[in-house]
Amino acid sequence: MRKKFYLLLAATAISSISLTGCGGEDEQKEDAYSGDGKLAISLRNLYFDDYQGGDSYIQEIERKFGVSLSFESYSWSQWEQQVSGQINGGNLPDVFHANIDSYNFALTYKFWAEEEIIKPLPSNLSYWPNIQKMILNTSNIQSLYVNGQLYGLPIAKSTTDYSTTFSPFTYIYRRDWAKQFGVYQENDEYTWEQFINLLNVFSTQLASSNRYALGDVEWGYPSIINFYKQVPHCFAYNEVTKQYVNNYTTPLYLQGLEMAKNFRNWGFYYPSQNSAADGQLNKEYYGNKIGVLYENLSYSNYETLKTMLKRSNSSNPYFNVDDATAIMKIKGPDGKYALEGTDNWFSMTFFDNRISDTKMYKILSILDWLLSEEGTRFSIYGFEDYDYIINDEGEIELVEAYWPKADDGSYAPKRNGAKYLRYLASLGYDTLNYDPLTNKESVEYLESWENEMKAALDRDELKVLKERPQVMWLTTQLKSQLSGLMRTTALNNVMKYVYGEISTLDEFCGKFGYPWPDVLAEINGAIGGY
Amino acid sequence: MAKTKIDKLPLARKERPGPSNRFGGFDVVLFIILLIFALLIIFPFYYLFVVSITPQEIYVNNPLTLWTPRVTFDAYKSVFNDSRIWGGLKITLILLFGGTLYQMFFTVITGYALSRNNWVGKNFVMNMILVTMFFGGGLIPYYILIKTLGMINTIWVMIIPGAIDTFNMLLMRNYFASLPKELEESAKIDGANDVQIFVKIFLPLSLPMLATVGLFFAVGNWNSWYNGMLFNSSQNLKTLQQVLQDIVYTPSSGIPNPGKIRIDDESMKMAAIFFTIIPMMLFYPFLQRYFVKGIVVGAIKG
Amino acid sequence: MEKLLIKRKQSYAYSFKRRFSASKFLLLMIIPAIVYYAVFCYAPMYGVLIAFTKYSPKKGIMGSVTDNWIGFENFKFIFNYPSFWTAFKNTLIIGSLKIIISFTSAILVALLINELRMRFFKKGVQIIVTFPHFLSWVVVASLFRLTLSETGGISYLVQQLGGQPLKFLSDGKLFLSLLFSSDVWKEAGWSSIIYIATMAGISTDLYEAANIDGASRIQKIWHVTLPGIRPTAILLLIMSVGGVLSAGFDQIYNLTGSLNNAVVLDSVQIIDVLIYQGTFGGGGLTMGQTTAIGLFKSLVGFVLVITTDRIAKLCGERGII
Repeated sequence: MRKKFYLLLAATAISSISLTGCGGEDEQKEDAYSGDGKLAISLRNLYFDDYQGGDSYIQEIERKFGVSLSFESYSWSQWEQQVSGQINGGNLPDVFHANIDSYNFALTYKFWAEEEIIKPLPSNLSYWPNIQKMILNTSNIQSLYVNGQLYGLPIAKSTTDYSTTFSPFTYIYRRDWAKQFGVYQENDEYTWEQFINLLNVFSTQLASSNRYALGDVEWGYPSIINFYKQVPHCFAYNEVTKQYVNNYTTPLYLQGLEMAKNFRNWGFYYPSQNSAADGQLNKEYYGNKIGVLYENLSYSNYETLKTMLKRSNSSNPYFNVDDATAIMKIKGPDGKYALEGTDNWFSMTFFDNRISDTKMYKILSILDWLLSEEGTRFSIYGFEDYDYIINDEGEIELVEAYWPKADDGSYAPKRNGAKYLRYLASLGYDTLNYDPLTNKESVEYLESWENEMKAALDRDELKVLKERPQVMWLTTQLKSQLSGLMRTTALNNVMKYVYGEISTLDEFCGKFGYPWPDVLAEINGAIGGY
Repeated sequence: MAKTKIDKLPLARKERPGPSNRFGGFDVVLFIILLIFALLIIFPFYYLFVVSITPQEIYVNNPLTLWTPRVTFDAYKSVFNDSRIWGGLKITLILLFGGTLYQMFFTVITGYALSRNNWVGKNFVMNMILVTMFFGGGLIPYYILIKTLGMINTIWVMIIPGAIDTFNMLLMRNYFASLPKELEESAKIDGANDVQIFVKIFLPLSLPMLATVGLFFAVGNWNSWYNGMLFNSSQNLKTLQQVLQDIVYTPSSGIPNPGKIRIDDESMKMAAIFFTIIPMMLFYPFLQRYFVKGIVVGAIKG
Repeated sequence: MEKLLIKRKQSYAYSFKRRFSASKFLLLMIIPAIVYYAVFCYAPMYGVLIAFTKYSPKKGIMGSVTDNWIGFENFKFIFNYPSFWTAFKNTLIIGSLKIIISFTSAILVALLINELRMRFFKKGVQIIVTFPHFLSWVVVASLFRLTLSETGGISYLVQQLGGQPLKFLSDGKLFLSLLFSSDVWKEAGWSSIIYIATMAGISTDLYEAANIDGASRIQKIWHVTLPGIRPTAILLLIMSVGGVLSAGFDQIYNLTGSLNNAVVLDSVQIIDVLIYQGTFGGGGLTMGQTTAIGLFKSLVGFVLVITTDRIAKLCGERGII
């Protein structure tokens, strides 16, 4: 009897183990069709936010392509955990979205590709001309090929203008305060000395009311080193020796580091930079708490800053937001502007390797259509002859009845699922120009800034911080494995130096022992002298 | 006997500085220390509340406002107008009532079974349960298990895996074990069967402990977010705590969605936090004695 | 009659079969628990095998075990991994300091409340100090960051009074003190409950005897109250030793703003942080390696509990196992 009882216990345990699926993962996902014969496709993307489908626009797409789409979103603060959970648990949605970062991601991406977790795009894309065009025109795309195949769709910022060479990570400031304190410079252009002077005046003037001169978005700190360093992260190239060296211990970088420390000690920087939560610095800026902010001034961020600034000063009748805030154009000690280099993409849409070719082709067809002129128009304006009409001159005219307006005369937000779906292929920076929901003045302002910077680049007055592509996407073993960790540790040390946890530059430089020499040796072995 | 005698002697009473008969300097010191400790605990909550009703422009210039010259409930308005909050509240309330009842049921019967001494393999089962407090398989097999059980993207994943909480179960067991054995024996002599003994004798006697364990589960369900975060991807299934995290950690992003500009400033964040703790603050003073009683009985008498 | 009863009882004890049938109801009640623990706790335990493989998500766990078995390679790697031993050391230091601090603070709070002679105030204080236990660390960390950061309210007050800004969140050592004090803030009141109850249970005879000897209140605390709670205190101490290697990941994660505060992160780089960063944060560790670290941590924790328990028993105290 006793034996029987223990046997029973053991049997429960064993049977429950088999429950957890020892048999490994499913090789293939069966295509599932809904009752009315539509192919079910699950999508998960950070940009879907709380969008869940169901509007007439997405229904139209579902009807047109015979699919039924389900939308799910990642949480910003748990994006990596959620992706990692689904990958390791074998529970990927058909289409998913992950951040691309040459440091932390190169290895992961390669691993996913080689482990056959993600599905490569068909090698012949001519059936989807818009996607093909997008991929062909994308800068640095060759770095994403693994064994000759592209394992996902890099999400293009723009599909008409591919010439993105620098990012809009830059400074926005309180022009009204500058004027008030008498340090404003014509056309918002500042030399390095004028910039420091402005910060000095700001920090003195603002101290009494508990405000600060300068703040960086959390991931950008300490941004002012940009004016000194030559490449964004770990690996600088020494033109003389033709060798890759540690960027963080180059004389220029150390100079910038010293300056960042001064900025903190002089009281320029917002003191809680190191412990700021995601989005906190933006809140401080539009809460009138800091005078200069370093941020990714994409359209939406710029517009948010402006809108919120207006809102938090609503009690002041003399406050004019267009006068109060502007992009600051700062030339560094070398007399040049400094901006980070960028590609036309920074995240990628991936396909679960287990989905059928049919399903993949279907998704590609939808995205291709959304990238076409007709699809783009649909995602921006909606239905022809309903949301808009094309008038006799061939121009688009909105049907006002379907575009409700807010009190201030701008169009009220309107949910169009096609726009969310389009984020799987492009962020649509190029559509901002004619999207009725955008603030045209802001779009034009940002464009004029971009053009000014392009002109400066031509005059050699702009330094673009860019890692050489050959080293950026090099995936030799040590480098792939360790570069993410190296960058994190290095940036931690930078912050520790600025905050006085590391007291001397010698001590700082001493932090770059293992694995730095080994990785650099490996890189130089592979591409040194190149 | 002797004790009562001494108590009645007026002389002995005078000599003894026993409890409740003199409030001296020592008590003043105790009082002050405890008062400071209590104020230290209250202050952040109070401060949080004041920040949440202070207009942004006043808060910026003077962050340490003990009271605000102008009260605004704008932040609360944005919280109440945020559909995410209500969605989250709905799910959390389902967990709070449904989940708590479910967990109570399994935890209580397990605790009862383990509190009785006369069955086969009890020690073995008990030890096996204790081992799980130290060892686990990790995230991946757990994920695969949840997937195999088909609980991904369902509300069940936030309820079913929590059926038995070992700590609460032990509290329950210890309480049952502390009840006099004679109860069971006399009931048996009266002809009651095991079910009757459990339902009619032990359960009614354990009401304070049931309240305690129920409250522990309720608090856990109110604060629940991890399983939801990991296993559920649908916006409809987010708990209040998940929504709170979405609000507290707002991304600074490059999405050019013109239709999506959110009003989250510092005060909205504070209002959202306050919103999630206010129910606990309101109920806690009345329920506190159950928590205390339960933890004391469960932990000491076992 | 009495004799007969005893005989029957004895035969119960010896006859397995009869015991089995007599406890049918209890066995029925325990079945859900057996199923529950088997499914949700024991079944996933095979996952520790990942520690011995080069894990491939596509192949799954058993697939990796059959195809990618690498023995103790992962363990060799982590034992040679410098960050691992730093993290291990940090965990031990932070974990044991936390145990000591929370242990003493709980007893202190209990003594204070127990000694106080104002019933009403006593009740109020108990409600207040036990409340924070029920809040999640997301909330508590938000509260602390709001009040104690360099730009927070208290720091502002200190500066208005002519002092320096507070550096609890921007100085490694001060951050450690914040770690401990926030722990006391959140848990001391709650942990004191058991001690207060134990103190209430100490026989009044002992106090009266002390009175007759003319003992002061401090002397009574020292000679009566503290010895009275000794068994409970030791029991709780043993129980907390098992958690020494956990050292509070949730707390650290939230107080450092999702592990983003690089200035203080080094001083709180505990094993769980290493596992987390290795798995999600680009820390460069494989699934096999992080699982190996986790397994090692469980083993050490288990051994620690058993050892403390044995030591306590050798010293004549009641153990837990």
